[in-house]
Parts: sequence; C-alpha cells; structure tokens
Amino acid sequence: MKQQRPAVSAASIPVRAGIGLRAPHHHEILAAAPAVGWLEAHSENYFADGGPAIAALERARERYPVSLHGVGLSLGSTDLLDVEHLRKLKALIARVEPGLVSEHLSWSSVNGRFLNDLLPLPYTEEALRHVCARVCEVQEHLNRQILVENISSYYLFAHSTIPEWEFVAAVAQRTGCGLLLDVNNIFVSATNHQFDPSQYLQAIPVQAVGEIHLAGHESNGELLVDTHSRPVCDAVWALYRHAIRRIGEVPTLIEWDNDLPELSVLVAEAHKADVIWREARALAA
Amino acid sequence: MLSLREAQTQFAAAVLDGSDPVYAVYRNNVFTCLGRALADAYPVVERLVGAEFFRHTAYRYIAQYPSRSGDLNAFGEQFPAFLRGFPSVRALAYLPDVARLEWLCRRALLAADRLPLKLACRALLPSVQLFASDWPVHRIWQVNQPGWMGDPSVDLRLGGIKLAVKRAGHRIELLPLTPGEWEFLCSFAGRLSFDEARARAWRADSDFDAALAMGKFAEEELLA
Repeated sequence: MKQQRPAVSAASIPVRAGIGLRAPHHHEILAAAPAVGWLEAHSENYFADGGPAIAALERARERYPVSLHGVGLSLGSTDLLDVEHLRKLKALIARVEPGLVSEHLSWSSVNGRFLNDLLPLPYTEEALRHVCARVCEVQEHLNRQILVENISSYYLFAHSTIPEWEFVAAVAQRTGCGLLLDVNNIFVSATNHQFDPSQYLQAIPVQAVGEIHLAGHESNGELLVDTHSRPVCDAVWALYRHAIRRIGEVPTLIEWDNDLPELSVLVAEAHKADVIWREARALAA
Repeated sequence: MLSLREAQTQFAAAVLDGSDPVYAVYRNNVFTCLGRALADAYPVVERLVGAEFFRHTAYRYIAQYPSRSGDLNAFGEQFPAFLRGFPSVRALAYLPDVARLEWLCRRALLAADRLPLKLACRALLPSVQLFASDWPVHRIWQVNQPGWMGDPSVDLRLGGIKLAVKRAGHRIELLPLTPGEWEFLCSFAGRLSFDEARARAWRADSDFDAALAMGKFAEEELLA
C-alpha cells in the first residue's frame, strides 16, 4: 500500500508560524496584512461557488501562502467517501492553490448521519487498514499528498490493540501521507488518558511531519477539552519546544476558533511560536 | 471483536442518546456545533425568539433532522418546515417565513458569481432569489439587522410582500417587487420566453411596463 510521496508544493508554506483565517478577521487581515508567515483556512467554510467568503480567501491568498484544513471529510468513516465533498475540495484546491492540504485522523459520520465532530477511531488492525485505504483514495483523487492530523480524544475503545502513536505513525508509513502533528491534541489526550506525551513524540516518524498545530484547551473538571478558545498554555509550549527539537523545520499554526480574540492576540501568539522556534534551533545548532 | 462499522454505529448512537456521561464531551460538541451552525444561518429567528429559546429549538431540530453533510453551510435547510410544525412557536405565525427568507439569504451569499457560459442569456443571476410571504417579513428582517437604528416596531397589518433577495458585495439586499415584476421574474426564472413572461406580468398587473421593469432589473443587477 506504500506509495511514492507525490511531489508537493509544501515548500510554499514557510517555516514560520501562521494563523487560522476566520471570517470575523477577513476584513482586518486584508486591510492590515499582519506580519504572519501564512494563513490556514477551514476548507468547508469556503466550499461556496461564489460570494464574499471565497472572495476574501482569494484576496488573502494574493498576500499569503495558504493551507487548507478540512474538518468534514470523515476520513475514518465506514460510510462511502462523500464524492461531492471531495469534488468541492478539489475545486477549492484548484482555485486557491494551497501549499498544504490536511484532514483529521477521525470520523464524523455513520449510516449517512453526520455528527460534525472529530470522533475517535478504535486503534485496531481493521481500522488501520480502513483508514490507510481511505487516505490513499483521497490522495489519488486529489492527485496530491495530504497531511493527516492526530485528534484530541475523550474516549478510549476497550478493544483497541495499538497505541495511538503507533497507529498514527503506521498511517504515514503505509500511505505516504504527511502528518500534521497537533501538539495541543497530544497534550490533551495524554492528560485525559494518562500516557506520556514524550513517548508519543518519540514514535512519530520525523520526516513525515509537514506541519504543527498549537491551540488552547480548557478543563471541564474531569477532562481537558480541545476548545481552541484560549492562548496556548505553558505546558503545551514546553511540549512544542520538545517537539521541534526532534522534528526540526516545519511550519507551525496557531488555531483559535471559539471566543475569537482580537487579531493582534493571534499575531502575538504566532510571534511567540517564531521566537521559541528560533531559540530551539539556536540551541540545536 | 466489534467491527469498525459496529463500533462507529454504537458510538454515534451513544452520543445522540445522551444517557451515558462517558460520551458527554462529544454530545456537547455535536449539539453546540450544529446549534451554532443553525444560529449562523438564522440570526433573525434567533433574535426574535431569544438565544435561550433558540438553543432549545435547535436541539429539537438537530434530533429530528440529522445533518447529512460535512459542510455545515448545508445544515438547516428544513428549519423553516420544522418551525411550521413546532407547537412552541405557533403564536409567531410569521416565524417560518422569516426562516424561509434567511435560508434564501444564505443561498444568495454562497451562490456562484455568474452563470455557466452556456446559460448566460436573460436569466436571473445565481445569487438572486425570489421570495413571497403573506407577512411583512421584509420589514421584520430589516429592523432585526445588526446596527438598525430606526423604529424597531413592525405592524403585522402591513400584509404580505414579494421580494428579490440579492447579494451586493458582502451584504444581502431585499428589493420589494410589484405583482407584475414578481410574475415577470418568476416566469423568467422558470425559463419562459420574454413574451410569455410579459403576458403573465400583464395578467397580474395591468399597469406593468416591461421596458421600465427591465431597466430596474438591470440597474439592480438581477439579470445575467
């Protein structure tokens, strides 16, 4: 099942920190052009045939490298792949020419019903074979490599037989896809399920990592929840330092979706990531 | 061992059922996310009934009309029909029509900028939608827009309205139509010939002036 890595224009996303492009910031980003390396857009938010949202993304694309990040493809579902969704994604890719295209290592639909959330997979051989076949199907359809992101989880299937980090690594190795390593998600799941996050990082094939995500989370009293509603916390910054010492030169993205702050707060978080990245590289040199 | 399909079927059922707290984070995510998507599509309905009541209504809708797409912009199409049959809002007889108008606004905002070339003659632009109601929904919509500074009251005795819903840049504009203009545009949208559209408009409105109407439609950029 292993494929040659297709040539990918990942190089057009610079090894700097970028920020998520969110509709309330469209106007300000276009007017003020903040000094961030690149922007990431949620693919489905721009599936429109025309109108103001896609127009704003196209204008942003004139100034910044853009990555497309999907939240709705339901990669791990046992339902048939939604060909209409793939068609729209492919059309958006043609229109925006993103440097990277990513999806999640999760599922969100079964028996035709969508829950529109990133739901966890049981980590079994069957699930691994299924997800790998789907990743290959998507890469073939889009005729490009995709990155696959590890999710935050709040549930473990009792019949899982493979540690998540080995599952993630195997998907990259078997399909030739890249990995979008979400450091906050590793921290959230490690806390919720009591595993060692550095063990997770250690298992990740360094050369497969094409992007890193950072975000804020909250506690609901029992579990950490990946809310994308806060600044990145100190423990996640520490894990990020650890990750980039091992992984090296990859672009980093600051994600923020709920209780969206002023644009300047996101830009400051991105600059913080840039500073940490430079310090870590200086130390490694 | 559970097959992947069985595991996913059971997991989704447990999230939707809600009785097992183990799935509480997922249940909360699902209902919050879909509820927010519905509020994004129906901001005027939300304003009219209040955020708390809207959330309650949205949860009922989500349970009854499952999401069928990974694209949240596609979620909520049956909300006007749901509201028509929802006993708790029966006193607000105009509410389903407000929702119907908001869904057309959503469609107008997402529509293509122009027609495919082979159809590019004498047709409504894809971003133009036609809407009619027995209630003054135009006025209800207007006074519930963010930043409305005028008189917020609506006299329901104003009666019905016929509208063209159009996109102007990143905004939606509502253009009231005379009975003749309405007939004419509906005929056009139904791909009838110019002569047939004009004949129908005359039947609806003996004062209808096709040249004047075409001038107005061109000025308002309704036609391709």
